[in-house]
Amino acid sequence: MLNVLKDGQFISDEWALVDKSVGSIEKLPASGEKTILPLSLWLANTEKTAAAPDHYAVWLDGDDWLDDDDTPQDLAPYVSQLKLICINFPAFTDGRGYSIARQLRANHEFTGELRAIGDVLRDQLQFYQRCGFNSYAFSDEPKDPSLLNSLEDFSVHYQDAADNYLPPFSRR
Amino acid sequence: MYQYDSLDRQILQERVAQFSDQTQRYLNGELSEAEFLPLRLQNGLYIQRLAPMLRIAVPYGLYNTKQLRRLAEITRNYDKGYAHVSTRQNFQINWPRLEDVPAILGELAEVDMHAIQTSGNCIRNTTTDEYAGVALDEVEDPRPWCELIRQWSTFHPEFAGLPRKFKIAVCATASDRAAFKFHDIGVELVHDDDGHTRFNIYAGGGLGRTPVIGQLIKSQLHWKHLLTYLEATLRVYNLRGRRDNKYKARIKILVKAMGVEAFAAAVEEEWQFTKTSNNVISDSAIAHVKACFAPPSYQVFDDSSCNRELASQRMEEPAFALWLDKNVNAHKQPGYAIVNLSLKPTGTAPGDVTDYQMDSVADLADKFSGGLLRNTHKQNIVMADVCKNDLFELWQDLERLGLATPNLGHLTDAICCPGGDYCALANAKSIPVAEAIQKRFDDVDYLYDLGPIDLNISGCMNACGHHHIGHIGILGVDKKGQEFYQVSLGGDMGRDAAIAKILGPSFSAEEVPDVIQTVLDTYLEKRIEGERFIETYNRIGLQPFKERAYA
Repeated sequence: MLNVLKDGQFISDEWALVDKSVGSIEKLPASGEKTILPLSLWLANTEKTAAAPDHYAVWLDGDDWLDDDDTPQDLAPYVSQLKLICINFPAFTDGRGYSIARQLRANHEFTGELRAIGDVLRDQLQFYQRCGFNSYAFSDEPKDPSLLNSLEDFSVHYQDAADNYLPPFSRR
Repeated sequence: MYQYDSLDRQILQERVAQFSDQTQRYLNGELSEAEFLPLRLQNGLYIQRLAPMLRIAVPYGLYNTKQLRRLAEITRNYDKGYAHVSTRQNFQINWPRLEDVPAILGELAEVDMHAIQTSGNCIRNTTTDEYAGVALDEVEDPRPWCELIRQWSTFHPEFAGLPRKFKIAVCATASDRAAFKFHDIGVELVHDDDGHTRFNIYAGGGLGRTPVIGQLIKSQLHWKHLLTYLEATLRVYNLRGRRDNKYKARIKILVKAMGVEAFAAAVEEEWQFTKTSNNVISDSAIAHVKACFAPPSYQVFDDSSCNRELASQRMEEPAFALWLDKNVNAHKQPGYAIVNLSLKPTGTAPGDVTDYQMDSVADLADKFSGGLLRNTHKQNIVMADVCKNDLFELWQDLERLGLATPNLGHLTDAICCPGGDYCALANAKSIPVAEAIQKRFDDVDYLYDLGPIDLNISGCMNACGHHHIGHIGILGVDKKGQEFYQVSLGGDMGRDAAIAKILGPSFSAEEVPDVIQTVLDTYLEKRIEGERFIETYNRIGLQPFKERAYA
């Protein structure tokens, strides 16, 4: 299923998402699979997960990010090694993921793939992109090719974001 | 005022195209109701009790006559020939068809207007003093800063899904007309000892169910960091604000829960990351915006000869004298005055203005006030730059238009939300209550003897009518399907910000004028010569009013 939009292309995703109900990494398929682990599971197994970033990615959402104040700090030492971090939008109206993305890109200098997952819709695409996301997982394979236009709804922006954009007020 | 250039227009045109496409996909069934909802809300489009309501943005209340004429035309062609001035200094129209909204937005965009972020869980219209730039007690014109906040907050990608709506006000005067401490963020413009612009930032104020006075989180912020600091504040709120309960989702709840010191510390920490961005305001950036708000080229008048002329006109025409006393304010420029157009004549919904009035006001503003107008948070209209020599002629024209009711700041100049007549959220009607009070207290001698009183009426707990901060507040409540009204006293939207206290059990609509009468009688009885209503209240407290009202 070509449901992941990454750097402007639809791709068939090779990563499998593990949900929060899985309590132990032992229950997972044999290594060799590419799995996206919930943050707590990833952090509980850093000997394995941090050592194999091509096999283990991490996903999180606003609840994980602030369930206690140390969470970003717990992940911080590993951020530079991670290849993929997914941020879950439990509802498309829940904007915490935007700020988490900005923090990962700016405060933690994450340079890998940053993917929006969950309730991801086309009308928010440009917001995701400007906050530092570069891939988007839709629940279904999008049928309407005009969806890509939503990444470019606006050609001018009023403010800098994760894109190091020079706003008009600074150009005048 | 701020001059749009090709970049601003590009953004507006792209917005119109985007929203037209979204509306089309919604009408085709490609976008669900739930998916379209926040999109239309962030474009100011509500579905109300009887029809959609479109809220049109008026940044910090300022607009020109070309825009007003266009609005009048839109109300004629797509609505019922009137608009409503809201407490966020915006315009609302109550009867557009959803299908027509893209066309309306296209016509608004032609005059640099829009409905962006006038609703929804995002940063709303930034408000300020309606007398900005001409007030006697102003530190510095706040509008260039408001404009930069407008730009920065427009389609900010990080803050498109906040826990709840977010309102910012800027105050730059000794007497506060922006109610800045009752905003999610209140920005106070001050000068430091060397005369440099600085900002004191207050967070966590607000009305609604839980009225709270904002608290200082940063003092003497350098102007170049206004936006980077706001960004850090919004980020802390966006990440930590509650999302499990919409009634506990405003920043005021978060600031209370964290404590103001911890909240300020979290902002300070985040600011270390936002303060190096391209959102830092440069010297040239602010200079460009300030140039847009340069004062008009005022004529030089001999103020005392203007005043002599006014004095003789006063003698000839007592009604003019009343209007001068009540609706005209002092201007910083000799020979000029600030004129307030009252949208509160008895029998009209407070804040409503017809298409004919809008067209006529546009003509008058072109003739007498540099072609610019302002909406006030008290739901009136201001002409800010009128020569004193023109006042008499202007007054005659305003009289004919029904816009010269000399009641500014008095009981009948009530703030009032649209209430149950229009709003789907309302528990009770508010317009008929305002009208009943206006009718009961229409004797001008009595009204003036009462002195300045802020009467604020909301049809529900959302407090669009700011009932918490009226000297007298009225709140519509629902009791087993019946409309009842809770009366509160002692609110203050000025510098001495205060939240009103509830008088006691609520009253039926028919009882409200009598209760107000009792409250006023109590004041007249207890006041010491020269004391305003709020001063008497502050001296004697709620109890004497309560005893009389429930006797």
